[in-house]
Amino acid sequence: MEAQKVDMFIMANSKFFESHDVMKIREVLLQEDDSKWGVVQTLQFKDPTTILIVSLLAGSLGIDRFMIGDTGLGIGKLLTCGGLGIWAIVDWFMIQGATREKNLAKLKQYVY
Amino acid sequence: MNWVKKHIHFLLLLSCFAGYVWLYINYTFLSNQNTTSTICFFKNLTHLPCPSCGTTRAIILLLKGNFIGSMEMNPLGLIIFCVMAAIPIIVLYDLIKKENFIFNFYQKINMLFSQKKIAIPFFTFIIINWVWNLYKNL
Repeated sequence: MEAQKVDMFIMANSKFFESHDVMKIREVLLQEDDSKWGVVQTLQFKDPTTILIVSLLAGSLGIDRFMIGDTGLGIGKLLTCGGLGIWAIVDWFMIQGATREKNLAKLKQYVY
Repeated sequence: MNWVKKHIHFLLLLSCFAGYVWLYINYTFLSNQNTTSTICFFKNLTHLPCPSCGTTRAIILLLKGNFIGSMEMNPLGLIIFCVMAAIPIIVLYDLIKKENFIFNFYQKINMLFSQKKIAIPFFTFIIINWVWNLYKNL
C-alpha cells in the first residue's frame, strides 16, 4: 500500500492498538497489496476508553467482556457477580489492554 | 488471549478456591442468620439485587438438601454449584492427560454463544431471573 494511505490509517486508528504494535502494523500494511485497502479502511474497532467506562459502570455484570467478544468470560463474570467483585476490579485495569488485543486480532483476520 | 491460555488452570483453581473459602465463611459463620453478607458491587451501589444475587444462599440451601428452596432462591445457584464441583476434576484431568480441555471448552462456549439461537434464550432467562430477583428483593 502507499505510505500516505498507511500513515492516514495509523493516525486515525493508533489509539485502538498497543503502542508497541503500531510500528509493526505500519510495516505489515506497507507490504500488503493495495486491494486490501478498502477492507482495512472500513474496519470498525472498539474504543478502549468506551469499554473502560462500561467496565467501571457495569463490570460486575460482565457487560465489558461481552462487548469485546469474550462471551465465555462475560458469562463467568455475570454468574459470579464479577468474580466476587475482585475480578471486576482487576478488569478495570486489564480491560483496555484486552480491548486493544482484540482489535489487533480483528485486523489480523483481514490483513496478515 | 495467550495470557489466559497459559494460566487458565491456575486462574480457574484460584477463583474456585476463593469461591470455596467464601462459601465456607458463609456456611459456618452466617448460616444461622437468614441473610448473608454481601460484597456485591452492584448491590452495595444501588441497593438492588444483581442477576446473580442469592447464589451463595442458594448453594448453602442446596448443601443442606433443600433443593426446592435453593431453586426458589436463585436457579443460577445450581449451575454455579455444578461448575464449582466440576472445575477441580477437569483441571486434574488436564494435568494428568497433559491436554487443554478447558481452553477448548471455553472456545466452544464462545462459538456457541455467538449464535443468536443460543444467546437470545440464555439472556432472556437471565433477565427473567433478574426480574424475579427484583420481585423477591433478595
